[in-house]
Amino acid sequence: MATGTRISVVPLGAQHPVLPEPVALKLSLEEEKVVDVGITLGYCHRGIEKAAELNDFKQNVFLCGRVCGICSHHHTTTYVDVIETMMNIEAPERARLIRTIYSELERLHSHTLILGLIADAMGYENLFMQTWRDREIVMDLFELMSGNRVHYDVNQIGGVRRDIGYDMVKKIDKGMDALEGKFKILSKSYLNDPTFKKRTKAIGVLSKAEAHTYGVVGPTARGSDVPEDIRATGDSHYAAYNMLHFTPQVEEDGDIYSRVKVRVRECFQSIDLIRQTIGHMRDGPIAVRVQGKPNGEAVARVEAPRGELFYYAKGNNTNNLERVKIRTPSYVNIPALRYMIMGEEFAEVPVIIASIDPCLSCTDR
Amino acid sequence: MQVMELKTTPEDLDSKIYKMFQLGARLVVITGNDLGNGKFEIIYHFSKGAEMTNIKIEIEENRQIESVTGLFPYADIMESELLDYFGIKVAGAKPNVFLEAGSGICTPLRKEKKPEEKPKATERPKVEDSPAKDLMSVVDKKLANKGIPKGGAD
Repeated sequence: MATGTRISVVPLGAQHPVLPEPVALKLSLEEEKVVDVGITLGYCHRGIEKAAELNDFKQNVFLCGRVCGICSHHHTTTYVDVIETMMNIEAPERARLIRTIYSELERLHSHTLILGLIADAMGYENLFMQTWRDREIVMDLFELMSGNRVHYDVNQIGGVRRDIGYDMVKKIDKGMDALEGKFKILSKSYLNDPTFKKRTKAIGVLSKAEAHTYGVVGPTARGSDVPEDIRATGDSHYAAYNMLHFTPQVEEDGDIYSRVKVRVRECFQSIDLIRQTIGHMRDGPIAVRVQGKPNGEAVARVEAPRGELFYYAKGNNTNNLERVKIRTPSYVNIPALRYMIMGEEFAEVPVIIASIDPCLSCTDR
Repeated sequence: MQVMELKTTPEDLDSKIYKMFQLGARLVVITGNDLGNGKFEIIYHFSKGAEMTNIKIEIEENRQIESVTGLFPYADIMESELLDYFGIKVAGAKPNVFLEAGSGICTPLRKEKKPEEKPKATERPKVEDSPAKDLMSVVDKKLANKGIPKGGAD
């Protein structure tokens, strides 16, 4: 910083029209350029980790779903996975396939949500509304399958609570066809539109080395050429990913456009994975009986729409758990935001924030 | 997923963590655990591909641990969480990241801490404890200055 330059400090948040959830950013500007960023968290803190110690371990499935409204199924999946690992339970194949369908549908609705919000953050209202209109196909499918649009609560320890019938499978298949057709048209706007490219290319860059240094996960990491996807590399017994064929989507540039591109391609990949999963569905039990109480320690991780979701749990042979630790993907992605924003123009800040898909209710828990 | 468990001492922690850094592992999170009787367990979860390594240490309540932000700069938020939720002292950790300063909530994940009992709704605060008592003494003083005796003008 040259001496004599004037620094103005602009607060962005905690409540701001561009932010879907509260986070306070303190931007130090030198004319229009951001030279420093301070991030304050904690506006959504609800004490869920403490509440999980006071509840019955079976009730916690519903509590963990409430950590986040967008990836609630992934939270319950990670929680049941950590308890199943601790108690040596294996969910039946059909339950794992049903979990996979819910997971991929959730990824679709999360990715279309944030793609719409990125378009909205740069003032592309039309694209935002069209994306969210098509997202309704997924939301309607959720309502059909579970009776709810946001918190489905299908998981239970040892399997799932609701089966997917033959009629529903046909409707999901039809829904995927409709969504694929509509999303093919929309993806042209995201990938080829000159205005969109101008606002996203070479902006908010996080290089591969920086992605390693700041430990980012999910599409944010894959947009920076880090091919890490828990579905492919990690533990896959929570769902049926070991039965499916796919490769992690990776982009090299590390800018907003790369992250958008990864998400657009992952939407098509999710549609493909749902079709593959439907092809594997055979009749069978959807849950096994759970006996005993959790004892010992276990860790589990799942690839949520925003990245790696990690749970640690410690049992003490009672109905209550000794400790539940939740590490959400935004927990590591939000601090890295600082390095993406520094050096950029002030007008680009909302789009950069949206590009990492921050989830504050996850981060604060 | 393969999970490795590694127990070590606070003195040896630095070398173990440096080893993970050299291997190119990613620090997933730092978990704190209250073991009761004034002891805490701290677990550093590392990930490298499909493998996870958990490095565990056990410390006394008042012992300060070294920060790992030199190797993993994103650990600052995790260390602040240890400080906020458990009161574990970590060198250089910023307090009140997750809990608001002055909110009256401190170290909520400690085991021995019980929720404070609220006063019953029927109980009224006694006059001797209320701020009104101080106010009365001020009034009495003012009246005394004017030559009016305590308890009224007549």
